[in-house]
Amino acid sequence: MAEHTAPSTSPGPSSTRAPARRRVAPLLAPGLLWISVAYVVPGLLVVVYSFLTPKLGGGVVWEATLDSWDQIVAKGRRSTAGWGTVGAAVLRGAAAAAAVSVPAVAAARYLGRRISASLALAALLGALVAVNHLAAEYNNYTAVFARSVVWSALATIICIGLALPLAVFISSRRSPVTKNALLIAVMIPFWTSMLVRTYAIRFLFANTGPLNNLLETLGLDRIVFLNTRFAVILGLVYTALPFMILPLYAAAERVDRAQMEAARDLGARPPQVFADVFLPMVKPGLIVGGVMVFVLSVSQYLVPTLLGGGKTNMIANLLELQFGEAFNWPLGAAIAALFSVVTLVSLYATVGRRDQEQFL
Amino acid sequence: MSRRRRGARAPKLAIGSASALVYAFFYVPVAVLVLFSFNSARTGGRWAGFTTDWYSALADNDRLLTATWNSLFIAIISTAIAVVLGTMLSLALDRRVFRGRIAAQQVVYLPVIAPEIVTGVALLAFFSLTLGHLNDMLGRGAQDAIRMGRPTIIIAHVAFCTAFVALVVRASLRTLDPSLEEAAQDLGANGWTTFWRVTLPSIMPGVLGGALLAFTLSLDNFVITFFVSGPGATTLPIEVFGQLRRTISPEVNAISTLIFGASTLLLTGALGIQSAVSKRRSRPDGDRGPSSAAAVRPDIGHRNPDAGASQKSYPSNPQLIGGGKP
Repeated sequence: MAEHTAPSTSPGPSSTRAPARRRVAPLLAPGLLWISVAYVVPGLLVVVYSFLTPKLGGGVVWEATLDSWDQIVAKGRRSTAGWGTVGAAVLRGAAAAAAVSVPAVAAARYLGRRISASLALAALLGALVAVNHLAAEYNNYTAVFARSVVWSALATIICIGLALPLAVFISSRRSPVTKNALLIAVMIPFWTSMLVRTYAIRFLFANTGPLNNLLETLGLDRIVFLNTRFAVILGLVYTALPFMILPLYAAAERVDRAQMEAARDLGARPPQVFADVFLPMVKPGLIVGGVMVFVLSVSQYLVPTLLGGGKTNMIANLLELQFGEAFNWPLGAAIAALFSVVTLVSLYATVGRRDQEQFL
Repeated sequence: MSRRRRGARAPKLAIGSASALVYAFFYVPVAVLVLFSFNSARTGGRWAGFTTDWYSALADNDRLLTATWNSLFIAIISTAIAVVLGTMLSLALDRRVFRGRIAAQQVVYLPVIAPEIVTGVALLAFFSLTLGHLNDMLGRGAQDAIRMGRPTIIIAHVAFCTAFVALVVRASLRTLDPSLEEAAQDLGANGWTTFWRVTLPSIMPGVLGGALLAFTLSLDNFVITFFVSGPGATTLPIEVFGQLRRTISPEVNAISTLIFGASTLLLTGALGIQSAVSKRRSRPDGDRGPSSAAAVRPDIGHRNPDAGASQKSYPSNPQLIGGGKP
């Protein structure tokens, strides 16, 4: 690997010639070994397991087979999957692209920008919708994958929408005391156990919970919210939102106010200042936060379990099922391996190598 | 002029009210949970009167008490090991040049990026395989076999805690001008003395922040622990999860309130300690960065997309915000 690509921004290795000659193994080995035993070795084992035969009651029989991969990719295909499905997927994708392109193009026109980016966005969304439809119709496994990805993408978009005003709000406070207080108020949920936060949502929205009692007292209808897809997406947003706000705030804090003032003085309207000056400057924070929210959401176990109630499974539920009740460890291993590859590839694709050095 | 002013006020109002809504979104569910932990009704979300019965019931709940003790034990041991290993790793990655540094770095940060659920099932496969062989080797039968429990949980927790400690301490190391250490060595200090007298005192806020993060992560971890804990040793999150899946009982509200209170206390306590440490070692040039709140999560700043810029100036504070728990 190219160890010389370490950016010169860090005062680390390149500028410490004297201590560099000292031995590194005693410092590095214990921690590296520990992490390798707990992460690298089990990770490789999962890949091996995915090619073995399931054993009744859990575990594997050491006989090589491609059954698990076959099951994910080919078998279990729904009978409805055919040319009709492809046609429906294309139609849906086109409809979604058209629906998105109208407001996107209008927004670009309003901001005096080229419309090519808006059209690309619409095309991307259309493609996503089409692929999602195909995956959902193909078989149960691809359906779960597609569902997890789409819900997490939705949660990410909602998180961006909620975090942007908050980041602007906190970073534009003048008094450091207010800023601190507002920041701590974001960090408390950040530090609170994921289980407690998910349970708080479940308790509030339960069929006989406080919200429904309030509605009843007010003479309104009760709502059935738990065990719906809306509950899962709300839960994803609720648990992941601090992970979006904090990096975005860090980026907003660095935005040069003078540039925004200048843009305003030169006659830019507020939306224009936002889109042309503010947004490009906070883009790195947006990317880091977005990736974190997505990765966190797509592998969520507690939220779909406690709020989705099993009907609306995500990848983590599928994995737990295979390693638990279903006792098909090789199939679970294959799903885990595929899922890791998808996550890591999308992570590296979004966060470039240079960003990654700073991201990690 | 006046038109422009009015134009600027409307977005401000919108931003302010949107922010208020987001804060309400964060806190209303938790506040309702806390409130109803004092509700005397056994079931349902209807207020029936104030009581602290559910809290006193917790004291008699042996399973919960055992699980809490297990959690604390595991968190303390894991944090102690992880702080040492993680600090060593960060020193190796940031103060040494060696072959395969980037590869080592990828491995070290694997726990940060790997989906927890995959880690959980991978460790389950790994431990059941190794423990199976171990039991065969020792000739242990079904009765006295070594099973998953505290040791396996600690092995897993140390691994991810180490990665996060390394991340946090590395952020501190990056703000420490290496020429300080070089100066100490030029003046005759050996590597060990330099570390104790120069490096460690300077990165202490980072080490403390890392320790706190490790402790919280270990205490809160659910998914990985779920797969590597045996019937003999559950932790608090696992026990609470089991209880709230079985029934909705006000006891669960009470224990959740306590967990929430404990993590809030832990956070504010840590903020106090950290700002005290930072103040003691910083000259009167004032507050380190925008907030001491930020300093408690130095890891985040470190992942800050813009971190490169701030890292060039040593006195500045990179310990901002920007990342998080897995």
